[in-house]
Amino acid sequence: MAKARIKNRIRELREAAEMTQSQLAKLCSCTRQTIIMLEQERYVPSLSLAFGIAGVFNLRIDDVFQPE
Amino acid sequence: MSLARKLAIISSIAWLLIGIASTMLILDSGLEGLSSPSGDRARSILATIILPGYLIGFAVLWWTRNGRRAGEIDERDKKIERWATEIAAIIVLLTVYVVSIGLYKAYVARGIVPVGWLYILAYGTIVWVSFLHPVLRLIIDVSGTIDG
Repeated sequence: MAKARIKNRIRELREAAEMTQSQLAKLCSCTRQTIIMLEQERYVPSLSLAFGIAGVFNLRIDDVFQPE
Repeated sequence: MSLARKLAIISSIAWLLIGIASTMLILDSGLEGLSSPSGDRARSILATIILPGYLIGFAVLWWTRNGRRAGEIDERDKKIERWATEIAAIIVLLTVYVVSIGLYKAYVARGIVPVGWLYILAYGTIVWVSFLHPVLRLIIDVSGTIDG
């Protein structure tokens, strides 16, 4: 079965909110390394982390993450 | 740099040094030294080098899971650890298999294996897995080849 590719708008939203990767990582209870990998679309987060990230930007999960 | 990556680098270096020291000790005392009762000193030094390293590894694992730094290991780090454990288990299994079969082939004609090999196999397995696991964690982490 082909692996699902998930696109995300994390970098765009983070920069619009004038937030650093470390600040976003702290708000989402993850590491800066994870945020870097997410922004490079080299890591697909768990559902709970995806909800956490969407929550930081007051958006719905599908406003941040979309299948490619 | 994340705490998980720092720990992987420190562990890799520490276990590489322990591995080199153990190999030098084994080469110095020889198989005979490990097999004979007079080789107590070599065996004691080997255990003194390896076992504390293994116990410190467990303490660090507890510290990052339940201690003050517990929040610094996130879901991606845990996935990397799980993947590294799976790969390390397969590699170590294959290594032990190959070494055991090698010993069998080498000594089948004599019908007896020098007992020192058991010591090398036992401690070698601990050193090998302890070195391999952080190295695999680093490789998976840096390559970014882990998915949710």
